[in-house]
Amino acid sequence: MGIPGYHGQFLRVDVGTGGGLSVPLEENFLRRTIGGSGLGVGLLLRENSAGMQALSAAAPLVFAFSPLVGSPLTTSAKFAVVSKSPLTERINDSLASSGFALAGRRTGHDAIMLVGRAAEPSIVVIDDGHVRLEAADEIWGMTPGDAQQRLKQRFGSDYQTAVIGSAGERGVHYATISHDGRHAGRGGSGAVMGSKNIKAICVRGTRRCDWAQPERLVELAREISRKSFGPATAKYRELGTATNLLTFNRLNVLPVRNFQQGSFEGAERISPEQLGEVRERTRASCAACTIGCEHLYSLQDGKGSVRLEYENLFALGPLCGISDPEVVLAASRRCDELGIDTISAGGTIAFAMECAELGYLDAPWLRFGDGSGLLRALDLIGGDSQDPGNREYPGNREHPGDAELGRLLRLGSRRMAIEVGHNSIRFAPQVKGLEIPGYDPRGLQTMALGFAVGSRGADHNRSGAYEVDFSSAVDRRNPGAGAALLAIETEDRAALMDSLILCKFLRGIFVDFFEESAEILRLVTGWDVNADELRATARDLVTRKKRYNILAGWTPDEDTLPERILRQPLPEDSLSSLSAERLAEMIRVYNLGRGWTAEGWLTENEGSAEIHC
Amino acid sequence: MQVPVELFGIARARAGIAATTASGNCVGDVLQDLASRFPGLAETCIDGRKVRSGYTLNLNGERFISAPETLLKENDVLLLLSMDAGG
Repeated sequence: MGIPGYHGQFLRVDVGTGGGLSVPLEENFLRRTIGGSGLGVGLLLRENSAGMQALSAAAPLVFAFSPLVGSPLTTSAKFAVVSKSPLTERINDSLASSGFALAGRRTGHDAIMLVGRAAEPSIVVIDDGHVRLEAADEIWGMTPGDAQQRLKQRFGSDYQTAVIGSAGERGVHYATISHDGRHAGRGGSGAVMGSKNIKAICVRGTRRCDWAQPERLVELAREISRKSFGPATAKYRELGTATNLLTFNRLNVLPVRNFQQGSFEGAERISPEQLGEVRERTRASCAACTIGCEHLYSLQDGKGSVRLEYENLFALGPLCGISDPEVVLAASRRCDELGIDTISAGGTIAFAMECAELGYLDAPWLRFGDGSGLLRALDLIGGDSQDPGNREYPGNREHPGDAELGRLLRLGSRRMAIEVGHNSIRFAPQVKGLEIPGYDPRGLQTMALGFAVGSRGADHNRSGAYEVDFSSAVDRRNPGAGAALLAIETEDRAALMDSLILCKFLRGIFVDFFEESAEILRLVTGWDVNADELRATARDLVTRKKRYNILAGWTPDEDTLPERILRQPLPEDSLSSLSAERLAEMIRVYNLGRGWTAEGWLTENEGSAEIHC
Repeated sequence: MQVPVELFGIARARAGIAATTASGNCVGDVLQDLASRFPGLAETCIDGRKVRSGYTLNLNGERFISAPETLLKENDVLLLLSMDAGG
């Protein structure tokens, strides 16, 4: 096809038959989806996946790359995993990094789609576009890390792998897909892969793309890399995101004990500022990244180190009332071993803790602040597999109610609340089924809007609305409906970054992100794209996700927050109070600002977002 | 007036302390004082009488502010932190 930056095709693999088909991608389609998240969503719409059950054999699972993958641009070695989420039954796009993106693109495809279901636990092997299935018996039940190691021994180090843990195998609704210690984390794509009986996908290839203006691209890449070493990324490089903990605690927006409070008495103890004093800390980075944001802390049991980010720190710490850093690190490691999203795991367990304390669940060992209870709950979620062919996992049952509790925990907090009853849904910490990240919406009310309207649920990556709350542009505790328009801007920028794909930690180096992105795309593809086109493209990317959700059954009442958030001010700060009426007004302005109806339905004007086959 | 200042993240790392006091009746004065006493802050977080790009100020743990001429009252506490959250 000949578009610089693209192969102009995706690989459709039917894991039921083991066959692969290279399907052409038109230039217009690629220009409007770009890559990554945008490309994945576009492909899912074409496959009509919105009407399918998320874990059905027919449901597609897309690994989408971008025209920047393999370029000299820093942070560009990323891939998106896009599917319908089993947790939300809505669109889910999650991102991960490093060598899998590079090798995946070198198979000669801009994306890889899995459909169907293998008869037995299997590995998909893609070698320069040639597809085969191999048995996964020897790695079924393994942690992602161990599985990846074994696959390296089996196939060689020139293959890169994306794998699921035991959580994905047994369909935990927030199971992840992992690569090299990084995870496509939110929304349960690991369960989708596991439902296809696929443990791993191994890729290698030799096919590279040309760039339209390689010399200028290299020059620009050097400029961007130079800036990436500067003050705009200092926080990520030197401290990591975990440094947010004390800031959020001070502002009373750190979610504590299932969003019952906004500050935590144990915050200092688990802060990276203190951890760094007493534990060995190392840094790591993804392939093709000059920032190096990963901070790993050693565990006291001598069994290695664990990456600590703000989200796993909050979710497995204050959200569950845990102030023991060793527990937080051990719990994070367990999540990595099982292959589960730490935010959803922490949120679901915190919800369960509250239910147990209220007597709604028979789990006397599960209480806020009890580290052994947290770790035991994680074990119930993941279980232990002794026999690859045996789909029953004995787990660690010490109480008669444990098996049932494990089943409930694996569903996520929303479905768990529906089954538990007692109107516990009022404090299930989720939106559309996706557990809320570490930003208390009552104290960050533009972010509250971002959570409520987010296409994949409560999400701090697809909406950057907290940046609005952290500025003098609004009063974070009463931002006014006009903040909605600022929130839209953050969503559009995020959508474009997720499709290009560039790491959001790089965003501080850009002065005019759309203008500078346009230059990048011109140099890669040769398209005469400009900032205005990219602004329109970004809006279309968001609208396309809304279109998917509508096709999947979305209704306006999904765009909301838990009743606890809308009825109970933060105890530390009575002005951190968000009413349903205030949120509804912000949502209304947001919807109209997007060109949708006030309720959030698409209008004929938004038909341009539709992509025709 | 001596104003309590709390530092978070990179600002804390550059200053080497979590909290201090600084002299001034308005935000700009306080920032100038901090910059003069903590060269690390001047290099990374503070540019004269305002904060550098990527950093922000919060008053009393409540609202975020930016104008150097913002007057400070007795018992006000200024927080200096990174603008980006994420994580």
